[in-house]
Amino acid sequence: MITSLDISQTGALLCALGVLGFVLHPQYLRRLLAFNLASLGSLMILAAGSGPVTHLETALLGLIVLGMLVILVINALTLHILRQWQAQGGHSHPDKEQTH
Amino acid sequence: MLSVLLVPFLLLALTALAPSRWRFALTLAGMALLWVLLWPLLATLISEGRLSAEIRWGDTLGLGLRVDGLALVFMLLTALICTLGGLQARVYFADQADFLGRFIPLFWGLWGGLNAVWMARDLFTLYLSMEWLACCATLLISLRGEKASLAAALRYLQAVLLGTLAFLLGAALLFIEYGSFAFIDIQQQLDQQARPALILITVGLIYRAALFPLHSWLPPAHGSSHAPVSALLSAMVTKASFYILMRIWLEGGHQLASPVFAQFLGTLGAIAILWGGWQAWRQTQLKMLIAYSSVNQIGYFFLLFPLLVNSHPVVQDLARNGVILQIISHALAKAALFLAAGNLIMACGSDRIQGLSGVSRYLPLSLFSFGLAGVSLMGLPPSGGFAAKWSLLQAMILSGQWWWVMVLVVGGLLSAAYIFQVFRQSFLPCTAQQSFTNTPLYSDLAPFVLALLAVSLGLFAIWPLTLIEMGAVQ
Repeated sequence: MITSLDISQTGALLCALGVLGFVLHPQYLRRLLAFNLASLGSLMILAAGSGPVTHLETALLGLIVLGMLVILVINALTLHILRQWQAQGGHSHPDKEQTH
Repeated sequence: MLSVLLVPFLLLALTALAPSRWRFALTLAGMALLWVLLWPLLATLISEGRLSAEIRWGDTLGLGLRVDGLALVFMLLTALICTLGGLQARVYFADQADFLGRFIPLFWGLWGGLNAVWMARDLFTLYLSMEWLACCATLLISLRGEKASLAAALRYLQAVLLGTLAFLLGAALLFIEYGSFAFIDIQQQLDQQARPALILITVGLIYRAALFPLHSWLPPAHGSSHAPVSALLSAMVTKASFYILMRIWLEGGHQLASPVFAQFLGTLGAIAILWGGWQAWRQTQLKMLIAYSSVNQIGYFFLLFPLLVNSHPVVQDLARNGVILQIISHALAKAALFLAAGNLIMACGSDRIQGLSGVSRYLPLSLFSFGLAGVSLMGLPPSGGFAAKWSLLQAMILSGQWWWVMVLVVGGLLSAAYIFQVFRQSFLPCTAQQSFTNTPLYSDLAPFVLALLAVSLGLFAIWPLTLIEMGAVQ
């Protein structure tokens, strides 16, 4: 059986991996993936906070779904700006952009 | 109360759907409506001497909205700056109807997001509001569609996302520990267990507030945008993150903080004042100078923390009042500076400070507004900047933390240096190749009014402070 401790520990691991990825990889797309990982990790920690998954409060579940929607919107926005940026001749790797 | 939050979002939808030629008329109607809606809240506070409007969504998670004196003062400040900034945008984008059409819905989104931050009662609503603000601000920064502004937008987005992530993690940890998202509900139960969460929240918010050394996203974002966009971002959006941090620390967070951590935050603020001022003085572009001046002025906000921790209540009150006045005066002055700079750039056709030679003869009122706003940044009497620094100075001396006084003095001198650099250049004779475009006289109205308010804030500083005091939740 999956306990809330398992969920919070998995969430913390995802969050740590995401933050590490964000710091280590300068490429925009990799950073976006890392952000997704870390955000989902944070939401898992939040879900674990109210006890076992089977007893998750409806209100809290609503907030977690809302949080996932926010992450989705941010992904769409980042990709939209990134597409515009590449159409202007920008590089997905900011370090390479500086040397051009 | 709820209508003040909903009207901007309604206007966002209306202006996004309406044909471009109707958007500004709708905006004018929306501005008038919001002032009409804000008036009863202000009248209640003044006549009854108290205000605590609150809406709660259910009882279990602590979610909801509230308006107290501090929130109302920030809502009024937002309304003032957004109204004048929105009117100036009409002048600035007069020949670019396409830009104006795209600016207006985002402008309303930004206004709604700001009101949500001022009114939020809980950490999850704050998280949602901050993400919404980040999305609107990113789209506004990228409005120009040029490579530099798109790069600045991507950089801004990455920084604020990381900051908000730390905030969300901190909010989740507090929820696990205390079972509520409302900081006002859990402040009585706060214990040492809350420290890691509060550190995460503080770090996330200082990243979003662009405190040194996490400020690198701010100058390109504010320096590469259109002048009305820079004015709104610089005057209000960075303040939103600091407002949340200030509320959390004032509502009990300071009791948990160690003096070493508070001194560390104050030291970062002091370095920001010196580094930002030095960098502003070195800039060759006018808007980048103003953007680095924001890094410099944001540093003063963080002098609050060492003055709050383990201090006498009188010192805490003086420090809080000083920082609130600094936020208000900086918001007014920075909006005036960016809007006046927009006029100067329109007239000269260039953002270079060297290109301003001779502009004093052609745009005296814009330059005068720039100077008045500069007086507030330098902290000269009777400006709001002076009243803020005077209050902070008293708190520093009473608490025996005299080392911060040196920072105030050097920071003021650096501000004078970068403001006078612009003035010196504008009074030099213009070169033979230089030409100036005429700008309409009414384009000087918004920056002049904002600069006048910033410089005279010191004379009526008691008004916002009394409103905050009267409207404080007992």
